[in-house]
Amino acid sequence: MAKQYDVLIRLLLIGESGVGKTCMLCRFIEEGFISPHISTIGIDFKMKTLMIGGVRTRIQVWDTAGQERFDTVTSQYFRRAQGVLLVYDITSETSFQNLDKWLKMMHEHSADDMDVLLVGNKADAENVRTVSREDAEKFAKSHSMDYIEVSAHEGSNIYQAFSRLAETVLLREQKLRNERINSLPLASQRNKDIVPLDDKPEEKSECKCLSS
Amino acid sequence: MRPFAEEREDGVIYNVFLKKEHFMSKSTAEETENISNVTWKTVRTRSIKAATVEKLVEHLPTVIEEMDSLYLHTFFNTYLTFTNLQYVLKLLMHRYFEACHIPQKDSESLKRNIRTVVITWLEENPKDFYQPPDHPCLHFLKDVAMETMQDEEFLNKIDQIFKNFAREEDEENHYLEDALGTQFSINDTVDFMLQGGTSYRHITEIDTKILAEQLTAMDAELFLKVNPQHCIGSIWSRRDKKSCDVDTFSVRATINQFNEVLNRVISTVIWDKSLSHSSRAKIVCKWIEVAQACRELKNFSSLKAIISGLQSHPVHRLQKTWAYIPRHTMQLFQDLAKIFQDDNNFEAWREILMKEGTAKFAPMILSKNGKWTLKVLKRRSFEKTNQKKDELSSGMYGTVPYLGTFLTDLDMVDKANPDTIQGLVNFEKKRKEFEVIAQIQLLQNVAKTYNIIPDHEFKEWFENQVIVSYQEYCILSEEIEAPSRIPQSAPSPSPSIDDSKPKIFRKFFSFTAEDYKQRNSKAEQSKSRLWLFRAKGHGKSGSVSSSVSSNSSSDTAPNSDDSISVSSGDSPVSLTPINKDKKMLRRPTLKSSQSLTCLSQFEQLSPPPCQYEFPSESCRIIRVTLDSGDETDSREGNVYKSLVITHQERAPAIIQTALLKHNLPKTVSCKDYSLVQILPDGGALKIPDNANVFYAMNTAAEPFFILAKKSESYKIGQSPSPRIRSRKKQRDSARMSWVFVSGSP
Repeated sequence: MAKQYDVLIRLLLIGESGVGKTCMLCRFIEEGFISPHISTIGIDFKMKTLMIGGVRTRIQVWDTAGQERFDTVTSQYFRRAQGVLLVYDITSETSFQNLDKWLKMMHEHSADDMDVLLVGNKADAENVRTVSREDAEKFAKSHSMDYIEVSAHEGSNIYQAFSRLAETVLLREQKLRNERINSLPLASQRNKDIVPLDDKPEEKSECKCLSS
Repeated sequence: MRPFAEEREDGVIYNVFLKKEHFMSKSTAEETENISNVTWKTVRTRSIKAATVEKLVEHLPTVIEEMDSLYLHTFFNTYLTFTNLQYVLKLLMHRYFEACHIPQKDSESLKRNIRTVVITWLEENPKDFYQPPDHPCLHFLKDVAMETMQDEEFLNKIDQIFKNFAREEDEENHYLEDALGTQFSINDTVDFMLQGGTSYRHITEIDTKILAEQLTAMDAELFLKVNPQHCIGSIWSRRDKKSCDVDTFSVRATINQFNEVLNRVISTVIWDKSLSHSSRAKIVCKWIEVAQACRELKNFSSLKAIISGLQSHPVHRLQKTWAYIPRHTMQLFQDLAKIFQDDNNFEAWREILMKEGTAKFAPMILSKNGKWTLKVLKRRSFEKTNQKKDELSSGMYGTVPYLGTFLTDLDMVDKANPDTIQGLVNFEKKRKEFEVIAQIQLLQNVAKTYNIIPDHEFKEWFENQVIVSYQEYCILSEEIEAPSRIPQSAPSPSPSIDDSKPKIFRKFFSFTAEDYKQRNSKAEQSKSRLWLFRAKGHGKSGSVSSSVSSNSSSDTAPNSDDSISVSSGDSPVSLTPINKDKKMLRRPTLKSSQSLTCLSQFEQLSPPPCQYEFPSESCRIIRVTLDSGDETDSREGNVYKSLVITHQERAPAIIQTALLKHNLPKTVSCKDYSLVQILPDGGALKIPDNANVFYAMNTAAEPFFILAKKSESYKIGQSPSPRIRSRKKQRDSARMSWVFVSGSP
C-alpha cells in the first residue's frame, strides 16, 4: 500500500486537566480523516493527515486523557514530540497561572528544539473570561511562543491551531536539515554514499521527523 | 451497521435497523429436498438510541423477553454515569409493586422479569450494592424478598452477598488501604517477625522470577477489584469535580500500585548515591530482567511501570550507568519498551492484548508483524535453556493489563459523544462505553486464574524501599551524574527512533554528551587501564558495591584484598593484589561526600571496566588499514590489521591501537586520524570522532576501515579523499592482502 503521507510529526497536548484538551483533539480529528487502523473504539482519535505546503503531513497527537495519575506521563511523554500545544482555559485563572509549571516540566524533559503554541481554549465563553488576551499574548511573547485562541465547543480556530503548529515544526525541521547537510563534512558531495553521523542531539529529532 | 431510520416515542428515540435473516418455510422443507429451501426475510429491529432514565429502566424487564442481554449488561455497567443505584432500584421495585397491586394480564410475567433483572444485576455487579456500613439498598431488597416476594432463592442470593461483603471488608483492610498507603498492615509485620526469616535487603538478592511473580500477585489482586464502571470517562475524568459522588478508589488503588512500582524502580537505581556506575547498571539490568519476567507472566501493568521507571528522567539521564548495560540486555529493554510505544494509538500493545489477553500462555503466540515477541522469547529461552522457563509457565494463565489505555479510550468516548440527545440519555454512547468495559471485565475473569502465593518477605522489602518525591529523585540523579552543558540526548533505552531508520542511526544516538566529555579526558589514559571491582557485596547492605581504581591514583588505593583486577582491550588480564581503602568501600551514607568524591573521581578517570563477562556479542573484529599519505601507501600496500574492539571502546582508543599496530611512531596522535568504514556499495561511513565504534559501524557491511588523516581528507566542502575512492577500487585486492596479513598482525 502506498504511503498516505510524506511526513509524520508528533504533537503533544498539555495543560491542566479540565481545560478541554481532549475536546480540542476530538474536534480536530472529527473532521474527515479516518485512520486505516481502527482502534477498539471505532475511531482512531489521534491521527489526521493535512496538506501543508504541498506536503502530506500526518499529524499524530498525543493526549494522556485519563492517564494523568500514572506517573509515566511526565518523562516519556515529551521525548518523541516535535511540537506542543500548551492549553489553558481563558475562563480559568489557575489554568493560566499553572502554565509556568508545564513549561518547566517541558524543558526538563525535552530537547530544546520543540515548538510550542500557546492555546487559550473556551474562547466562546467571552462573558466569563478571566484571562485577558493581552496577558496571554504577553506571556506567549516572553516565552517566544505563538498564541491562538480557540473554541473546542464551537470548533473555531481548532484546525488553525493544529496546522499552524505543524507548519512551524515542518519549517524548523527543514531548516535544520538543510543546515546539517551543509555543515556535514563529506556529505556535501558524497551524501549518497555517506551516512551522515553526528552525535548532536538535534539529529535525533530530525530522524524522528523523517521516519514514518 | 447504519440505522435505517429513527423513530421517536414519548421519551425515547429508537434507531431502526433492517436485518436480513434466513428462514425456512415449512412447506418447502417438506415438499422437496433438491430446491434450495432457504429464503430470506427482512426483519425490522429497533434499539434505543436515547431515552429518559425512566424509559431506560422501564425497558429492562422487556429485554428479558427479547433475550437482549447486551442491553442489560450495558445498562448495569454504565448506569452510574446518568443515574444512581437508589433511583434505579426504586423505579424497578415501584413497577413490581404496581404489578402486585393492580393485576393485569401480563403482570405475572412482568413480576418474573423484574425479578430476573434484579438477580442478574446482583450477580453481575454485587459491588454496586456495597454501601458501608449498612448497605441500605441491599437491606431494602432483602425486605422485599422476604415480605413481598417470599422468595427463598432470591433471599439466599442476598445473604450470600452480605457474607461476601463482610469477608471482603476484612481483606480490603489488608490490601486496598495498604496499597493506597493510608495504613500500615500490622499483621504482615507480625507475620514476618514470627517467621524470623531474613528479609531481602537488596534488589539484586531477590530472584527475578520471585520479584516478577510477587509484583504480579499484587497487581492482579488490585486489578480484580477495579470496578470497570469507575473507569468510564464521565466518572473517572470528572473524579475531581464536586458533581461526581462516585468514589473511584478501586481505580486509584491500581494506579497507585503502578506508581509504587515505578517509584521503586527509580529509587533502587538512584537512592544509593555511592554505588558505582557499574553496580547501578546491574540494578538496571535486574529490572530489565524482571520486566521480561512480567512480560512472560502477562503482567503488563508492572511491565509498563518498570519500563516507565527506567525511562523516567532521573534514571534515563544516567548515561554513565547505561553505558554498562550489555548490548543484549539493552536490546531486550528496547524490545520490551516497544510494546508500549504509542504509535498508532498503542497498536502494538492493543494487538498483544487482543491476542494474548485471554490466551493461556504468553510465549506461544507470535503477532504477525510483531517481530519483537519472537525475538524476546528467543533470547529468553536461550538464556534460560533448561528449567526456569517451564517453571514460569506452569500455572500461569492470567493477564494484568495496563489500565491506562482503557481509561484513555473511555475518556475519548466520553469527550467525543454527547451525554444527552435532546435532553435524553444518549444510550448509544453507553453502548460504546460498554465495549471497553466488557474488555476489562473479560481480562478480570482471566486474571483470577493467577495462582501466586504472596510472599511476606517480598512485601516487607517492597514496603521498606525509600520513596521520595520526583524532584528529589532529580536532585539525587544530578548528584550521581552532573548535568552536562551539552543538551541531553537519550542513551537510547527509549524506543524513540523508528525502526525504519537504518540500525546504525539508532545505535549511534546512544552516544551522549556525557560520553563525549568523558572521552576527551580518557583518551590519553587508554593504555593504563586497570580496574578492580569487588565481585561480592560488602557489609550489611549486601549490595554489590564496586570501587574503581587506576594506576595513576595508586596512592588512594592502599592495602590488598581479594579484589580482582581486570583489564580490557589489549592490556593483559592480571590478578594483581590491589589495595583497598576500607573507608572508601564501605557503602557511604548520603552525607559522606568525601568518599563520594573519591569514587566519582576515579570513575571519571578510568574507562568503563568490563564489568560483565564478555558475551560474544560485545566485541568484534575489525580490519583497519592506513591512509596517512601516498608514501606510506606505496610502501606498505593495502595492509589491513585486525583489531578486537569492544562495545565499550570509543574511536580515539581504537585509532590509537590501530596506529600502533601499523607501527606508527607514538608521536602520531590519534586526534589526527578518523576512522572510515568502507561500505560494500562503494560508499564510506565516517565514524565520528568520539563515537563508540562497536555501535557506530555498519554491521551489515564487512568491517573494513581506513585510518584517514583528518587534515588532508576531511576539510569541509572539499572533495572527500580521493584516496578513499581509490582504496575502494582496490578493495578486492585489499581483502586478499588482509587474509594474508591478519594472521600475524
